[in-house]
Amino acid sequence: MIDDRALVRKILEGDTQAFRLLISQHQRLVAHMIGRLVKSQEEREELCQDVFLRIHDKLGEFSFQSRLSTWIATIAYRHAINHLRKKKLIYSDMPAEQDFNALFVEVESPESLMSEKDMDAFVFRLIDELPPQYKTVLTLYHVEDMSYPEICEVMAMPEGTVKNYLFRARKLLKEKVKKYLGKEELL
Amino acid sequence: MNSNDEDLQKNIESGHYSNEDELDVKAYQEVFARLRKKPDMYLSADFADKIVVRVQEKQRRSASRDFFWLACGVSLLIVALVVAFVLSGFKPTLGFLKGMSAYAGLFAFGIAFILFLNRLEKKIIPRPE
Repeated sequence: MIDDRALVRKILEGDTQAFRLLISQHQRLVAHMIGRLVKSQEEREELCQDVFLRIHDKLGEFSFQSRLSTWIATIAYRHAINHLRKKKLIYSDMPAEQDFNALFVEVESPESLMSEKDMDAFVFRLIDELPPQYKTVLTLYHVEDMSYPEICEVMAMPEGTVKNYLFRARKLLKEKVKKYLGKEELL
Repeated sequence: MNSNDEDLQKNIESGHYSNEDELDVKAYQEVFARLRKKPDMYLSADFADKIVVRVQEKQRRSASRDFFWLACGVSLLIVALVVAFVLSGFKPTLGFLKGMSAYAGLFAFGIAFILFLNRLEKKIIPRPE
């Protein structure tokens, strides 16, 4: 198993196989982040490629102050956010909590909730509707098992904000699932 | 933060929940179970190959651009040299050049030898990209 320092050195020396190894080690991380933030299937793979091109360009600047995976996640997150901004798909900041709760929790009728048969698909769809910042925190914490300091570094946010986003995102999802379960119990 | 929900989230995350029948607990359990699942996102089998090809294309373009600017610089220098010769009325038979003119072949060989060594060095010593 080659360590990150040796791997980066080899890539900087022009070793293509080493770069392939870096891609295979981190493509799932990048794919999860891009996959959660970008809805268009056609754009996802190209964006993932762009992230690795950027990693190749910037690798000489990586100073091992953090784990390589954290640095790669940071590039993937910024790239996805820039893409969404270019497409004008997100606000520059989080929407006001009150407005967002109304949009997220109240917009659907109970009938449409009851039509959701697959809980997996249901929860994934709910996650899709969350703001990008919430989705990123959820992905990094639950899927990638990153620590709070690592998530703070990736998203350039204070720890309090990250914890708050994680709490609020999980609570929003819980409220929706609770409604769904409540209706199921009545049947 | 709502302290009841905060406690529930902490307890469910650590696997310690008191009342499994409570709807809030059930809902959180469902949510946490799904959050740990990896999102559906499949990359093509030749994903790494496509990136490597793009990197190589980019490097080729960059090398061509560097060569273009080098050629521009050299051309500009030659033009400047010719202009300077014309404007100053320079003659190669003046001054110390007069004495050196007998060794023109040696100078030509010297320049060719330096260029040869330079090329040899590039071939033998690998350069980091």
